[in-house]
Amino acid sequence: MNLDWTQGWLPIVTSLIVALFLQLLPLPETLSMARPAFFCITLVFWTLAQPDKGGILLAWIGGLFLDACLATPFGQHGLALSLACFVTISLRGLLRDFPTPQQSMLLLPAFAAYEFVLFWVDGVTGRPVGVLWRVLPALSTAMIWPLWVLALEFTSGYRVIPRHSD
Amino acid sequence: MDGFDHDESGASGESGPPPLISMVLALAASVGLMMFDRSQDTLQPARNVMASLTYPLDAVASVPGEMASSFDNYLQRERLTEDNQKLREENLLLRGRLQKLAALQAENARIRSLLQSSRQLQDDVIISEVLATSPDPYRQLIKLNKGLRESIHVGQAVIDANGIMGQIVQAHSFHSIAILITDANHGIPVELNRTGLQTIAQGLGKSNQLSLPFLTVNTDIREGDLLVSSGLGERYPAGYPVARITRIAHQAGDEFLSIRAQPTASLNRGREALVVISRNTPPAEPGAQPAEHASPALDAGPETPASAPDMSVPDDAAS
Repeated sequence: MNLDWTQGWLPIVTSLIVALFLQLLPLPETLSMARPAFFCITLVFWTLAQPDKGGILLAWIGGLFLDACLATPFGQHGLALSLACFVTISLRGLLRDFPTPQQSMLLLPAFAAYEFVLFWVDGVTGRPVGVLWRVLPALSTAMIWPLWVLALEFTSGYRVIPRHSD
Repeated sequence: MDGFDHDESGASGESGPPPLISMVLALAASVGLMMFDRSQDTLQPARNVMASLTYPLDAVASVPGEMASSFDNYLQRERLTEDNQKLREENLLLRGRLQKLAALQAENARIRSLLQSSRQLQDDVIISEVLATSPDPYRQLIKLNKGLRESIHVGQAVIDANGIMGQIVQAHSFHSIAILITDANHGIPVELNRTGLQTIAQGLGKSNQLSLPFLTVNTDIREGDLLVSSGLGERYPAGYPVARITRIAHQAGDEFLSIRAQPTASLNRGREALVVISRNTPPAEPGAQPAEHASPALDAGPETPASAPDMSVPDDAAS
């Protein structure tokens, strides 16, 4: 029983830690503007691959850690990540019919929702926001989605969309 | 049914409540949390614990950058590197103390002639290493490797060998976060070293620029002028270099000049920072305060010095 529990969560927690690491890795300013939201896509992946573990609650809790790391107001990333996961859940039926590269186009609304909430909260709390640049991470996240899925599928053994029909 | 995730998940739902309800709950919780977090400091301990949990990640994340920069050092003999490090720290400490001289000469001539007040020169500082700059390109923050354990507290000024960098906004057990003077939410009360004019230097959110708003067209200010901290607002110690004026522009019809200044501190290059733990401007310094107000009144609008204390407190540091 206990072992079952660990087996289910180990890949999730490990991948989230790796994603957090990539999120915190210092990059030059220009590159940093286009940094893909690794934490977000990892949560989206688990929302699809392990719907009873990943999902809105996990996203919200993960968001708190991201807030602590990035010194943003508590709840900002929680809100953004849970919204991204919510959009993902709503799109799940549609995603099943497409191969991974095309999924990234379909998931663009989820990533855009994530970036938009961050942008919006930044604006409300009085931070400067360059509107055009905010589009970049959503695009780069969508672009890296197929690769990231491949890596996660390969290391964890879970598939992004479980094939129940095969 | 835990073991059959693969088969089960084809069906639409999670095992918990329906997504829409979770989403509404998450929304309410996030918004509540954000408002609560902004209005008071009660969540600081929680943030402290979570930040300490993720601290190892931070430390590891900064390794590649550190390795690249110290690659040259590793080619040398180890002892040399050690000596070098020790000397650099000592040098930084000394320069940190020395840099007040330029400001003091001018200040002495001005103030000492008016009143016989003298200031204590020594500030105690803690050398700390810059662990990381903010991964968020829209915020100008740095993470320092000293925290509450080394008696670092919110509000302390951070300087480097060439000038003021910013102030501590979050102190955790093992590390702390400082806001740089270039953050768009930050303003620092400064005075023009040449004339003693009091004003505020605001960050613009860009890594290398400050703006001096609300200076009228007839203000005596030139490119190259040095701005030093004035100590008003009691956040920053007085007399440290802050920035140099780089550009003064005036649009016809505008009441105010558009002035840009470049911070003297190397905000995004340095690896070390000094945290000033004692200030040389005690709240009640009867002689100095009236003098500081007296001289700018000659050339600046009357409201500029009055608004300075408020501007120096960034949002996150509001207590």
